[in-house]
Amino acid sequence: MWKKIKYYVSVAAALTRLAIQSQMEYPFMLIGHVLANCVQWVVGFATIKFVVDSFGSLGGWGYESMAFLYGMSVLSHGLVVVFFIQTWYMPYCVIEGEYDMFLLRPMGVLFQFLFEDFNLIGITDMIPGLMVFFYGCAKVHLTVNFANTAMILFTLTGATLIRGAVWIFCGSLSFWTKSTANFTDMVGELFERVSMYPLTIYPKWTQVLFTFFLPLAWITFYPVKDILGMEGSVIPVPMAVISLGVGVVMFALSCGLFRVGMYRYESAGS
Amino acid sequence: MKAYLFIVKIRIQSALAYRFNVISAILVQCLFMFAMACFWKAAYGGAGAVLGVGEQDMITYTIISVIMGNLLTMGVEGRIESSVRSGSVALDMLKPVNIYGIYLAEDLGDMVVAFFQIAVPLLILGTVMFGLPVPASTVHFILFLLSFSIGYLINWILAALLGMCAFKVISMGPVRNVKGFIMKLLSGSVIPLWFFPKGLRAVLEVLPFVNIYQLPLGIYIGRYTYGEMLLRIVFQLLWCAALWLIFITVQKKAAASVLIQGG
Repeated sequence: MWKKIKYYVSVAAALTRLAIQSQMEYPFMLIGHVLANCVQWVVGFATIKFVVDSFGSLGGWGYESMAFLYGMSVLSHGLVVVFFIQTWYMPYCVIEGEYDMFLLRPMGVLFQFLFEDFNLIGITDMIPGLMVFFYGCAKVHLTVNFANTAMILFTLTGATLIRGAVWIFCGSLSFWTKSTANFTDMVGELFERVSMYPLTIYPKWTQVLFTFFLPLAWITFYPVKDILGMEGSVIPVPMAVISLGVGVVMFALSCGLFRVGMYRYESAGS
Repeated sequence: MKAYLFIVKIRIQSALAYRFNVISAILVQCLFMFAMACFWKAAYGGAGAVLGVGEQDMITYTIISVIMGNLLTMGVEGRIESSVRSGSVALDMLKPVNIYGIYLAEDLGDMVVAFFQIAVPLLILGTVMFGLPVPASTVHFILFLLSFSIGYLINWILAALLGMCAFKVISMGPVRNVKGFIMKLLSGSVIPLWFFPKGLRAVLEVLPFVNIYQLPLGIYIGRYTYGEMLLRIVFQLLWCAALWLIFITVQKKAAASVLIQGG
């Protein structure tokens, strides 16, 4: 078992190095993406600031806590783009028979697929993400201690797993539909709307939907509320731990769906 | 003219071939519209009018803005870049029509499709969720259409100007996205300018971007007096004319620097 894990880690490292090297061949592309991402998140953040400045608060949330929420959201977006961007191309791989190559090798298909192209450009999302995050931390006067650090790390891990799971889930659907239908835009919009703004601005049924049935509220909303100590929670467990749990369960389920889907994979004609 | 109309027709036919894309686009836009309307509802939270605009007006603003966003998608930027990269721009230039005429016709064709495929469904969905977004009056609506058309041209020329950079740099990378994000903020498409800090607003009012979204939308919800509307539309026309002149000048220079890659 230990040997196997070691082997997987070494392969992941080798693949990552190759991917980074190939992307470093185009430094200007990278710089362009840093700029684009910074502009994107600054614009998004300005929108919130201007509105909250004019209205005072939004769904019971003040400017400071919204800044923190936004930072957490952008950060987890950056992480998922780094590790799981490959899943965007799953429908294409199913139609074109790209999985043949992975199936022939003696390793997990999903593992190979996810690490085949480590997305260096995704790190450019992390730069504005970190900026907004630290700004938010300063605004809410977050005390740096073990508990808070652990909760933030738990939340980010959970958030990345939840987002990644949804992407894998949507991509795996193409094993059945056999179409290039791409849900990337739809899911992206959903993530942004649910994780960057407090859930309290939406109607009750939406809140229930995103808490229990499509648990996207666990990406940022509940754990951040808990970290900021906004209200006494009903359950004695920190929300960040629940987020992590939701993330692990969803990720496991999506991997399961991918495996089942793989049985229906029939490669490409000709 | 017949040639351009034919392009419009071809564009409509090819867009009709992708059913899933249409449904997905409607869903994404509907999601965005719903979220933004909730956002404004939460911001107002029962307050009557903030900075002279009521909650219902703001929701109308949002619904119409989302619909406009779908009509104002400009293919010209990507079109120039891809035809420069593939070299097909040379073939386009050989044809006995103006290439920018072709590109404009293509975008207009796309707009016709977007109107029926996305705008109308969105209007229906918006009406079901939040009530019919009615304009302030018939006159306001007519002026809105006028201002929207001028705004369309301004937006198109800006897109074409950016697209022409491709003649020089061949690959534009994420520049187009940057323009999209900046425009989103500066044009008032998401947040109207009256919520911006005063100094920033003064600068933005002079730039051409407000004429694309904010002006037509402001007219639609009856934000301006008649005198102000006319003045602003004249100003909008001036911007359009100025950009057109820049466009004509740049276009001549750009044509000279076309580099044919294979083809």
